[in-house]
Amino acid sequence: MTVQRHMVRMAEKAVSAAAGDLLVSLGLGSCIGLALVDADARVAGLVHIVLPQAPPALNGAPPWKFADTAAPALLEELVRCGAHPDRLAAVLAGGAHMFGGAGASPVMQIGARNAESTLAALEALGVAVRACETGGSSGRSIEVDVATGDVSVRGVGQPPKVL
Amino acid sequence: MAADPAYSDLELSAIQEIANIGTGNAATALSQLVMRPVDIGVPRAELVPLQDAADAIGPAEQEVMAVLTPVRGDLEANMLLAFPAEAAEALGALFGVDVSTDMGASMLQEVGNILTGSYTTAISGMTGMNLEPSPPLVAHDMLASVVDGVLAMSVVESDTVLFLQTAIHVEGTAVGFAFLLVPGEGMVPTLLGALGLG
Repeated sequence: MTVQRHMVRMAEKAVSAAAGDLLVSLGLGSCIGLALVDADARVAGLVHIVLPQAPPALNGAPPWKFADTAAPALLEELVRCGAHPDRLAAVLAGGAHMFGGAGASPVMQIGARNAESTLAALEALGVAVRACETGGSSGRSIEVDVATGDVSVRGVGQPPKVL
Repeated sequence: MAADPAYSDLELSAIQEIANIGTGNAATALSQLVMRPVDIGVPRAELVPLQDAADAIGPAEQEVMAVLTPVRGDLEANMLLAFPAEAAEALGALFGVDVSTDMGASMLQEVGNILTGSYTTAISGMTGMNLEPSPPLVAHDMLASVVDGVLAMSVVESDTVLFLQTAIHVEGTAVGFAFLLVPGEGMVPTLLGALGLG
């Protein structure tokens, strides 16, 4: 089994059913890494969300940048790859507030809004949330192991946490 | 949905020239502050797809001390200084402070103030625009996290971001860092208009 790391950069996604594939987003700040995993079917997906809400008309633009459009689109791709919606579990990482403390304007609280909007989208889809490592003021990296469905999240200088 | 920015070569070189002058001013101020010569790289003005934004500055997981100075007034922009950990330590050493302390954070904020202030003063001088740097904010984290924190404030709908980036190095020290201006929405047309190119 060869291990292959697929980098999921800002506003990108990856979906895989290949054992040995790792889906990775490095250095999520206010962005959200949303992993959806069907451990039985061994299918997983990861999307790197940047903003909470899509504009009213996407006009054919990819849905991956926005929480409210990325979550349903990722679910749809996973189902196409053999995942069952009822078995999907979600893990979120990111949504931090990178700069400044209290008193920041709402625009600066984009991380919290990203997390809220992602959770709302998952609830609307009926997807269970297995873990949510969001908020705070530190960046995180996320790695999804397609074979096991394990999702590990780590911050700078910290050991990975398997969720 | 807003169209992605697209600029002609003339517009990009005008923007690059502004970055040249702003950076030159900022480097002079830094040189006076640390009392050493400062080298500046060639400023680059480039349109970067969102996906490549972090990689355009450095390795995603590189540990950096970052100083963000929002600029408000007649236009909106965010100025980011990203010091690799060892460069931040070396900068602290020049001032005799430990960068991991509150004192160190204040020192970084002051450096952010001075560099951004001199950069925006140069732009104001050229364009007559009123630009107000806000108080600088400091973060110690992975480079990509810091960059996405800035982009989330700057990029609302476009999938491409304009980076005005320069490498700055204090001679005879390990102080080298990236100096990056990320225009907010509407900044570039406003700037080009003020230069008579709009």
